[in-house]
Amino acid sequence: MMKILEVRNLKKIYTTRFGGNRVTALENVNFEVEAGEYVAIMGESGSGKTTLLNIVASLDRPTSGSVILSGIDLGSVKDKDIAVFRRDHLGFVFQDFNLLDSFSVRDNIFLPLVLSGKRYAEMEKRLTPLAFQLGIGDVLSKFPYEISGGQKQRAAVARAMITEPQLLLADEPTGALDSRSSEELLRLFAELNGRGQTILMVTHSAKAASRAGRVLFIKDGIVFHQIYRGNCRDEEMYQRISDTLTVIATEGQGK
Amino acid sequence: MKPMLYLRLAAGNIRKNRKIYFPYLLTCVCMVAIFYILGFLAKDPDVIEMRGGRTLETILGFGVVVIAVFSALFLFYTNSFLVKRRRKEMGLYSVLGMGKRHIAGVMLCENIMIGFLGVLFGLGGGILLSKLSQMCLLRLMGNIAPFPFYVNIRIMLLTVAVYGAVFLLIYLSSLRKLGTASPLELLRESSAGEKEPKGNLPIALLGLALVAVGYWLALTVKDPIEAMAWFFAAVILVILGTYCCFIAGSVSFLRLLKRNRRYYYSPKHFIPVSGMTYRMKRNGAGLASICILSTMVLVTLSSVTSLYIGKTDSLRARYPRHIIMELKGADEKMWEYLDLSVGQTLDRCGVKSKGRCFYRYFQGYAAMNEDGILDFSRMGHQTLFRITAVPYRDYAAAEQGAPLTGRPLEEGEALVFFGNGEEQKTVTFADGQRYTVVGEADRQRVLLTSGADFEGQILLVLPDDGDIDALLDSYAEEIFDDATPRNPNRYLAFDLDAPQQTRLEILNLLSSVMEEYDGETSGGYSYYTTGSDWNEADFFGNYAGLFFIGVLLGAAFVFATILIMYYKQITEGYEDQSRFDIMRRVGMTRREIRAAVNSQVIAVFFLPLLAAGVHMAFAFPMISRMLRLFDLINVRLFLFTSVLSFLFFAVFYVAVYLITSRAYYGIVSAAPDRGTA
Repeated sequence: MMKILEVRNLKKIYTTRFGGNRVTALENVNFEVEAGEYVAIMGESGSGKTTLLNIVASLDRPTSGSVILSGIDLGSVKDKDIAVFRRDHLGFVFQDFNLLDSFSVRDNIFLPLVLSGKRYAEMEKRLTPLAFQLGIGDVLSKFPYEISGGQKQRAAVARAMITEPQLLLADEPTGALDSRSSEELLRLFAELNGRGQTILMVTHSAKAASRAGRVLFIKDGIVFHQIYRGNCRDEEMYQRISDTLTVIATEGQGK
Repeated sequence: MKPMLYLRLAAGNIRKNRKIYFPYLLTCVCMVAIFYILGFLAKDPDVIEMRGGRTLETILGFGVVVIAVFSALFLFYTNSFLVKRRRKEMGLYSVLGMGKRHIAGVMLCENIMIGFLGVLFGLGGGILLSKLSQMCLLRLMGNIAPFPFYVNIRIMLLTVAVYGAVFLLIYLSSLRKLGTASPLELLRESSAGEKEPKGNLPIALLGLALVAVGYWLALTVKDPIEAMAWFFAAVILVILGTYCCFIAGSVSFLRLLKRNRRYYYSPKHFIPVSGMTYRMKRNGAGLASICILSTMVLVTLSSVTSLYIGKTDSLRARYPRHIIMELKGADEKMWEYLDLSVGQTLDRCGVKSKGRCFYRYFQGYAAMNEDGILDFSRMGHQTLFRITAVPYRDYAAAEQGAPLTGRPLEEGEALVFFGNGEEQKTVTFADGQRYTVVGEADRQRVLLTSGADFEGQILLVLPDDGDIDALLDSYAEEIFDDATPRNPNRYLAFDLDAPQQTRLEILNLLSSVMEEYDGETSGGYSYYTTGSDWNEADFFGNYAGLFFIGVLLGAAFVFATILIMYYKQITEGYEDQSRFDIMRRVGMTRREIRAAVNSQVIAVFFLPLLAAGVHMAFAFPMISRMLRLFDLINVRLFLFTSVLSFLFFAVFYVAVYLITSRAYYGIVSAAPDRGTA
């Protein structure tokens, strides 16, 4: 299978303004994601999972180590090209949706395409099946403040998917949703993954992670543990994740 | 809570929010300083005692009122920015357990501090600069004697009282604004979604129509007196129209652009167009205000400057000679006496006259009826013409004006000049006198001044003294109901070849010369003397005062505009911060974001300036007509000062743009970013 993402010896140290405190967010992270995989990254608050996602998303630079996306080392991409690279290769879904309130849902979804100079007909052609699949066909003309959280998040997924990205990155996508909307969003992710979409999701929720094909646990800046789904069902997966989390938590207390 | 804690909190708040408080404080200081300086000058004995000082006192007193009202309004406006920005903070305080009373206490301390600092530094600056501005003003009026430095305690107290009241009102209004909101509302306010602006097409069209009518009025009114009246109508129409256009028109226009898919869905227009829709909805009123304010600054500056520069010409236009005498209704003997006395007075003083202009004349007001007949009896409702009729021999004897062409007038012929540019083949009076027009009269020959009622002037040159007498008689009969024959009026004007002091002495002597006439005086005679020197001080005092006030108020307005702009940018910056971040995350490059935001900022910034320029261009004809009331006939001078004012203002504006947009980008790019790491 083809590797979409390789993360090697990733290290990130934040230095406070006057150089006094050095905080190690990521110590030494290594993992790979293959095409078509659905990977969840779990960890407690402050474990460095969001930092990891930001570095993979090229929103942040690592202190050392490398991120290779579809064979391209992100460290070698020039600063001024990074945004275009991000636009063409990555899709994002955030916890707080990050929709622009001055655009209608349709225009929010079109935003990356407009920026790459696509024609309107082409944009419409891509949107129609996507909107249908995501169930937001009837709210396209509405504005973000007029629709529910679940619809907002699905609109954000549409915006992420419309560029047909190689990797879909999700940062706590269910964090701001009620349980029904969460369930629906996770079903959608599974469906997208079923059609071959590679997904990397950072989450707190064992429930969300239990839908993934593989779960990475991050603690103290390193990949602490991994669980492969293999052939087990969501419920079993959920159980295994919960067990692992308990182990992590009790170990933490033991120290 | 203890008062000390209030003070400490208040001081901390001001320090933390210095980015928005410092400009506010600076404005307070400037307004207070300008107020003190104007008040100081209005009551300054040296200024009042100068020739023309009395008129100046009135103008300056007026300026004091204007600046007080303006600064109150303006400080209110800027304070509302501050309050809006700080509502969240206040919400936080109440969540943390401070009661409304405590918050009110902290705010009171803040207001007292700002007010105290503003008035203190303002007065300090005002007192320091009062001497300088006094010298400037006196210099403008042509006086250079040194004057002592002093402080006007009464004006100081007045300043403290006025601004104390202003700050009290500001405090009460911000209390009211906070008092109505619950803590949660205060905290959440800024995160609520905003409705998509719906352009209101009918209002937009109405706005366009209002502006168009205003422009049309400004372009078509010819008569300066009428212009004065219509000017206010036009100004109000244009102001209303500007507000409509900025608020509704801009949004409607942008929505039209949005509908055009090819245009809208392109990388260059997508973000600016939709962003502008929101910006214009939020800022339409503010931008319209800036536009109106800028127009006022420009109009004020350009007209006072042209008046000041052109003051010597204006004086000469109003009073064409050093000595001007009119003897009305007197008989031949009295005239001979006057003529003789003038000669003797000049000889005694050893001064020669030059540019002498003498003529007999008739002067009266008449309405023109539908058939173009001039009628003395129909006064009251119609536009009146002021008719000046001069016999041909006096007209021909005049030394000034273009050389005479053509033959002397025959009976029944006339030369005519219409102030309103009209052309007629004949001139007919209601009593039957009728003349064939054979040419145009040269008004320079009789020094006909081109003052306020220039459009309503008719100059007639008639063949013979008898024609003048006939007009006099029928006028007297019609107006005074008196059939006794009348004496013609006489006009005598000349320059003196002497310094101003001597000229003034001679003018004084001549003004009382008729009192010594011991012959028999004819019934309704009147004698009137004037001259440029008598009026110079008042004239220059007026114009220097207007200029001084215009520049000071202009400075205050410019300052206000700058500050409003600054606050707009800062507020927008905070609002755009999150948007900026989202755009970056969905894959816009910094350069793209900057370009998209830049085009919006530039549009928002320069739209008012552009509109102000257009307003000014359309107001130009009307204002240049109104300036004629102030005897300014030099349209090219006014054009020059207009263009100059605009350029000056534009340079200022661009400088402000550069400064504020830096502040804006500073705020917007404060969000975490790998580029800045």
